[in-house]
Amino acid sequence: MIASIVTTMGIFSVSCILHVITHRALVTHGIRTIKSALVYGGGLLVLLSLCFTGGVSLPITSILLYALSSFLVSWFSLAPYLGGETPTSMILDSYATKTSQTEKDLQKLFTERGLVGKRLNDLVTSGMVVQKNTKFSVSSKGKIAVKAIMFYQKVFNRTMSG
Amino acid sequence: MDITITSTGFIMFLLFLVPQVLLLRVFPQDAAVKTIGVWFAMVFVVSGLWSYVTLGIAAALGVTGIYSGLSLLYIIVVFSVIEASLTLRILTEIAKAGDRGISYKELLSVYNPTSIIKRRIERFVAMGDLSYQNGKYQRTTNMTPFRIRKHLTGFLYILFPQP
Repeated sequence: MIASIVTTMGIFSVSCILHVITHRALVTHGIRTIKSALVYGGGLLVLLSLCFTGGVSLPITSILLYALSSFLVSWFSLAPYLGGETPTSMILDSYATKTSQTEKDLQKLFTERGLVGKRLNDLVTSGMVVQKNTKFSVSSKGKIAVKAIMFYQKVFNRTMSG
Repeated sequence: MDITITSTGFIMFLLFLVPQVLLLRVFPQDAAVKTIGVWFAMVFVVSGLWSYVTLGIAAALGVTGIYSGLSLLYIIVVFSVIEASLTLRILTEIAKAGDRGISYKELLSVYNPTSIIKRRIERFVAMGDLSYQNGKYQRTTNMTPFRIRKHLTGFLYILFPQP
C-alpha cells in the first residue's frame, strides 16, 4: 500500500519539475501563460492508467492526493500573476529598510489608483462589474460571487474586511 | 482500505473546519484567526497518530495527505481570499448599491486607501507581525502566517519568474 503513496508522490514530483521547466522555457521566449500547469493533466493520465492496470492499490486515495497537491501548487504558482503586489506584502517589504514607521509613512506607500482603481478595472474586464456612464453595478455573473461571499459571512459570522 | 483512508481524511478535515466555524462565530476578532494554524497542526498530529496505530504507515500518510490538502485548500483558496481580498471587498461594496450603481467617488467614500491600510495595520498588530510603540509601528521577529506566506511567495517568484 505504501508503494501507492510513493508512486503518486513520485508522479506529482515529476509533474512539478516539468511545470517549472515548461514555465521557465516559455518565459525565456517572453510568453506569460498559466497553461504550463497543464502538465499536471499528463501526470494524472499516467496515474489513472496505473489505477486501471492495478499498478496502484489505493486508487481513490492516490487520485485525491494527486489532485489536491496539483491544485495547490498550481494555485501558488499563479500567485505572482494574480493582482501583482498586495498591500500586505508591500507593507512587510517596506520594513526591509526601516525599523519603525508611522501610519502616515505606511499610507504613503500606496496610491488610490493602484489599490482601488486597478482592481475596479479588473472587475469590469472580467465581466463581474458593468460600467454605465460614471456608475458601476454588479453583473449577473458578479451576483453569483457576491452570494457565495454572503453565504461565507453568514456561516462564519464575519464582516467583509478586505 | 482505500475508502477508509479517504473517508478518514474527510472526517479529519471536518474536525478541523467545524470547530473553526464555531470559534469564529463566538469570537469574530482578528486574534481568533491565529488559532487556525494551531488547530490545523493539532488535528494533523492526532489524525496521523490515530491512523498509524489503527491502520498502519500507508494509511497515516494517506489520511494526513488528504486532510492537509483539503485544509490548505480551504485556508488558502477560500478563507484567505474572502478575508483579505481587496477585489472582493470592492465587488461587495458595488453590490450594496444595487441596480442604481455607484460612482468611483462614492466607492472611495466607503472604501479607500486610508481604510485599507488601517485595516491591514490592525491585522498585523493582532497577528503579531507589528507592535505599536511611541506612535510608530515596529516589525517583530515572530514567524506569523503572513510572513510564512510572504517567504513562500518569494520562493515561487524564483521558481516561476515573470517575463
